Amino acid sequence: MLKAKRNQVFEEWMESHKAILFKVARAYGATHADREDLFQQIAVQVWNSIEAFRGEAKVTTWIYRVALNTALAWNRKERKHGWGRQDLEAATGLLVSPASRDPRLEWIYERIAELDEVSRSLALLMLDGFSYRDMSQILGLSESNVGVKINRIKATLIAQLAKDSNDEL
Amino acid sequence: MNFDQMLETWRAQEGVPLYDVKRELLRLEVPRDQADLQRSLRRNTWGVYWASLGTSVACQVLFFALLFAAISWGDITSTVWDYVALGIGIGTILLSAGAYWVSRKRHARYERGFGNSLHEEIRRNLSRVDYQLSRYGRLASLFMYAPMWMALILSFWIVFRIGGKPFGWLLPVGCFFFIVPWWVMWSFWFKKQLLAYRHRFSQLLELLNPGE
Repeated sequence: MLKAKRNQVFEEWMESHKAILFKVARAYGATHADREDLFQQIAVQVWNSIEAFRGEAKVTTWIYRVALNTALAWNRKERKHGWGRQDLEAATGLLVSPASRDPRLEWIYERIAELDEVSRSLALLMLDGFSYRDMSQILGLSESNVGVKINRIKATLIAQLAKDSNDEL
Repeated sequence: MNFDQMLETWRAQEGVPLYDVKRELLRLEVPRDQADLQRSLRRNTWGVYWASLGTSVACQVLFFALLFAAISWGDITSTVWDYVALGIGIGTILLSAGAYWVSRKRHARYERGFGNSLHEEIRRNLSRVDYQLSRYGRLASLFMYAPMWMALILSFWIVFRIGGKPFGWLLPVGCFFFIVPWWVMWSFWFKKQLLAYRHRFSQLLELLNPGE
């Protein structure tokens, strides 16, 4: 594929689906600097993956798969090599946060961050309305396993909602 | 907030994204530049260093085998200089391998100090380029390529010795002057490439850390 064509596809994907990249970066990055770094890496991987995209899956499914695989690999690498580094490294200014944030959204991300790394991916997919079948294809898990995990995640979130709704939300 | 409201809050992100992206900072070229640099460094290491060391070793093995075969067949008489020459040949090969090993080891230790972020990745690449550039004009670099020159001189010395003629410097010096211009041209070309990589990575670093 020509570089110009690839860039054009990337621009289109970024325009329509950048929210996926934000969500994954926000869910896996502990600090703002981490999120920027992860966002960069996911964007690079999405760009690299354009050539391999054959249109057999939906673009959103494809981007989610690339983004989550990158985030999981990044998380493992960070845990292995970057322990305690994040706080020392300054953010680059790539991602600009809005002045005011919805506290309810912050609450959701905080709860997602408390989950293990696979459940975190499943939670993102569940919240975005993916079917069990799509989730199992994206993450390489069996549908029944996805079902069990999703039920646990839902139960945890509902319990947390009941607990926190009285005070903060 | 109940579960449905939570889903609603989540989906609202599609309309109002979580962040805004400063597109000029999104550098997709970094991995490509990095791959190009690594290919270029690998080409230089394997194509120049290992190829010249391998050719030198092969040359020395062949010519010393011929020399000692001629001695064992009684065509020429062995002298202490044959063993001194062999010692010099092996010594320069060991010296070269040692200089290469020490230099790589020192740089590998330095490289471990970098983290995993894109910013650190660019700094790591810059350090690779700086390391290569710092080798120009260093004594260690001269040691690394010494076996090639030594193999050239020893090969001629052995040819003269087997032929029973006194050693003449004219041929090795002639070869030396034939090789050196190519060598210098290659070095300049490679240095120019390294400087271009250095400029590119410095630009990227500047984009990531404006004003640093």
